Amino acid sequence: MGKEGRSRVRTVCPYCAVGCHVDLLVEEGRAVGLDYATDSPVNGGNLCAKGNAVLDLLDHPDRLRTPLRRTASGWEAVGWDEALDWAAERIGTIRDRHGPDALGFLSSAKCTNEENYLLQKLARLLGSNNVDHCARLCHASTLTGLAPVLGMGAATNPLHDLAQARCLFLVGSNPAENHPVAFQWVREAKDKGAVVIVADPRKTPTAWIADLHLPVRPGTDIALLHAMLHVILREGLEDKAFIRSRTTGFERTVRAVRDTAPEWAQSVTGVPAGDILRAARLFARTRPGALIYCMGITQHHNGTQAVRACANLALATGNVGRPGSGLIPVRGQDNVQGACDMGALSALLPGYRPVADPQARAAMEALWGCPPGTIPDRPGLTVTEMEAEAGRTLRALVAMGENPAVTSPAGGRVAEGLERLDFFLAIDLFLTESARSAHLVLPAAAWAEKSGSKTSADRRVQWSPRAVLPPGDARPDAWIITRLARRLGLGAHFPCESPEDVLREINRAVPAYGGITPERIREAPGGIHWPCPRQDHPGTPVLFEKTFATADGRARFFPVSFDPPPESPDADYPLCLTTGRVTAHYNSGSMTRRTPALLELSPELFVEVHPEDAARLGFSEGSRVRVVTRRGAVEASAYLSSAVARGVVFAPFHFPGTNRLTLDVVDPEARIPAFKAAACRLEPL
Amino acid sequence: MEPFLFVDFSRCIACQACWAACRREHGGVSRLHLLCFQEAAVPLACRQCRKAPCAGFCPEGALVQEEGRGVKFLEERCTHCGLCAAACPFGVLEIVPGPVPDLSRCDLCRRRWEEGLMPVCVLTCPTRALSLDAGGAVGRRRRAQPAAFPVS
Repeated sequence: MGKEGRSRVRTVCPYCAVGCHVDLLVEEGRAVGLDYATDSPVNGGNLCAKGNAVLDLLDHPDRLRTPLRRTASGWEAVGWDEALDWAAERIGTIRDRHGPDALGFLSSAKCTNEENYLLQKLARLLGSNNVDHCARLCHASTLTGLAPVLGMGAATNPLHDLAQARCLFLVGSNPAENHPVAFQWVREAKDKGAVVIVADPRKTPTAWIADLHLPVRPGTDIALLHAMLHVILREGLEDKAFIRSRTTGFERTVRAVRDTAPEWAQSVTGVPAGDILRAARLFARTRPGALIYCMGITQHHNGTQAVRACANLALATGNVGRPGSGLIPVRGQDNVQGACDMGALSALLPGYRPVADPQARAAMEALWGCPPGTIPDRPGLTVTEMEAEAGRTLRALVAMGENPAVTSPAGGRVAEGLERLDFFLAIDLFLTESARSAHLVLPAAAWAEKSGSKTSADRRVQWSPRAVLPPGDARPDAWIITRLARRLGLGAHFPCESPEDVLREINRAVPAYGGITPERIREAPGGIHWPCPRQDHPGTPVLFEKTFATADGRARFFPVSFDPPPESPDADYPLCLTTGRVTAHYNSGSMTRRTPALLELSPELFVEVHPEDAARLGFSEGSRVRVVTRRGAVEASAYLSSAVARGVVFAPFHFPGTNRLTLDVVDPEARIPAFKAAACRLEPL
Repeated sequence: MEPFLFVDFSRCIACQACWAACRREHGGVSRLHLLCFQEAAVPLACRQCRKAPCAGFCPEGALVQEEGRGVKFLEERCTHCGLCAAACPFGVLEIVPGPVPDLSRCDLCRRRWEEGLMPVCVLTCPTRALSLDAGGAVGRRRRAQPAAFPVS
């Protein structure tokens, strides 16, 4: 449409997991503008601030345009053949000398399904399960928490379904800032009279519209959820028919919450008992209700347990398996759901089949045409374990679109580990903080410069076509992985030449994607929600309407116990540090901190502090302060706001530094780091 | 009444989408300002005044009232004296410094308007806090808002 020689190409936004459509206006292979996809069934044209700034990523002056090899005198530009030959030689040599477990692969929630599938396939064909990605840092506890409860760990209802809810309970989730386009459905529900309850240590813009805001102390969510369940059971507000016909294990959970009265929870969480009582009654009586949770639940030392506490509350009120209800973990990245689905996880093959399951391994080996026994039967190293082992048992690391020096806990130690590697290959758009430690950096194509499928937070699989040419010599990650695999002698297993071909292989590898063929999703205006096992299957927007994905078809209650965060404020570190996102930035900031508009909105690391705490410590708005924890110290400017509870300090994690402060503790099941609660002190500078 | 940007600030979530869209559409300077407070945010932009003080004060006739289309900016006449910015009662008009100073004032995306398209801030806003409004609807909507609170 429109001007001569100009085409309009509908792509899927590269930022969060709402899966918004962005229309690019293209002339001669270059994007000359963007427009709003007003007829999109996903976002109706709406975009957030980041979505409005996506064009800055294409042709950005900092984009990597050629492979770079590190030499004694600095970076040296090399050709693709030389770069890939060298990478294959180094990886092959290290594998021969130290065995396949000396190799590690960081896959990426920023890459397409096809690319994640190919990278985990490469790792496993090389004999290593050391393949993982940043879901480990955000929603690993959703997988470990929900899989035994519901049979799978994914959002049960589509995001737009929130508009049908009569009660919305958001725990540790701030969609108004982090998923603004999805917040429209919260707003729409509220317009129709829905009750909104928000549990968050800060009165975020999400909480502005709440009927009830519960300012819970970081890390005490289980106590809050338990107290609510206690009230519901005490007052007989549970959905008895649902519990009887669709669940098991309820009795043990009843016992677990026998003593968790609101008065007890008040002393633990800081939330007044009366408000807990009110929240419990509102959530139980106002059905259907959706429970939305995010990293305020998952990123704790007991993230798996906290996720199950959410599930217990939703199951006890019968709020799973019907429209307008559901358990909604809102995923952060455009394809974090898909990267998990594709098996870019150290213990799970494509389709969530455990590597320990001989049948699952055999099925994958047969599909890939490799000898039985190729895929190791033991789970590999997770993201945080690979980083800890870097330069020790792990000798070579391939990082595709990941920036662990900023995103991982104990960031300083991670950077040291990367330096110790025999070979570190980074594939990225930019020379990130992590890529600076690499021996070889390969320039990747950005979202609009390649085709592929991506799966949004609500299991919506969409095709995002190539709209423009990559800058310089940058190439799609799939192209890079395939050529690397062929040089490693695995060419017979990597025959695919196009993302479409890879998706056809995924159709055979992942049952839930069985009917999501390239032909179908290219034509589906709003994508297809998995599970979609067959070509003639319409997809499944709402999960578990009739049966759960567990062996007996019933959901399982899991009794959860509450234990406080491993580090509590004390005399030396009297404040509680919690971390999160701001609306202008995205994860490690490698993209948004290079975007002028977003930097203008949020230029530097700040800490949000209650004005009374600031007055007591003797600093004011805009002052420079040092934030100190037992792990390290960073400087930031102070932003005073009574939106944050007294005694709590909030820091965004998009800037290098924040994760040098956070706890170096992981959830025992999910191996997710406890980013959300640490003891700190502030020193005015 | 001239069409203007109707802001329902009870719906605003401070997501800055309008600001970013406006900045992109207008060469790197947003003509819309988002004021953030502790528990609310208010997007502010030109009110498209019918008797616009900015146009009235401009000594060069660079701002011209056009019937039904708001104030038009005639760049070639502008001397960047800044009187218009001083005259604006809402503080939503600025002279943007630079090699070629520019006038920053919401023109409801005039370029798009001429193609029959809505302003970018209206299209991008996820919560419909912004809409393009005109005439009697404004008063009716303004009345409905405060009235709805005590009722619901």
